[in-house]
Amino acid sequence: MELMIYLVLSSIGFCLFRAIKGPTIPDRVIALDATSSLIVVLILILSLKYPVFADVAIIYALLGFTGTLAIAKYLEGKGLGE
Amino acid sequence: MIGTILMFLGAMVALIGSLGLLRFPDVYTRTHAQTVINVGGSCVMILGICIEGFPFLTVKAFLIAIFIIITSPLGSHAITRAAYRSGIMPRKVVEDELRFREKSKRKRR
Repeated sequence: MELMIYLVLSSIGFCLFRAIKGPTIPDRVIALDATSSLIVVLILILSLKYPVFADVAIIYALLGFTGTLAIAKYLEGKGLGE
Repeated sequence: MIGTILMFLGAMVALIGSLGLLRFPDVYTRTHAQTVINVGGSCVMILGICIEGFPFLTVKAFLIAIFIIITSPLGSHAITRAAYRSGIMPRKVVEDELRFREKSKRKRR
């Protein structure tokens, strides 16, 4: 399992590099969305050993998707209700 | 055994997808790499975790996999549409027909 944790951590590092460097705002949002789905996988790998963490992974997946949609609506320039 | 193989496959696909996220030139092509990470990397790894932690983790991990499969196209579509509406053009674009069509639709109102 430690090999999987290192592989996922290295791809999280690449995604965070793009999120820091990215020239426009949608670049950063796309990189952060990929990072959040990889962090869900990381929490699930940890929950193989400590089974309490599975609920944390569910909540994190929900919140990452909601944040992406909120930033997309903000970029489009409309209100949240439309 | 099958779970470990699936997890290794998903980790490799996620690594390749994050390299693509680094190397692609544009927002609209980086969306492709993000989809590879979400579906090909993350969901395959979560299915591997489903098989690995059989009695107590299977239902929750499968629920998360279904949720990611449903919401990943929604998020990438919304963010690409917002990027187009806020005026980001793809690199080396020749002709933009969608902008012309939206302008004519706006005139008709």
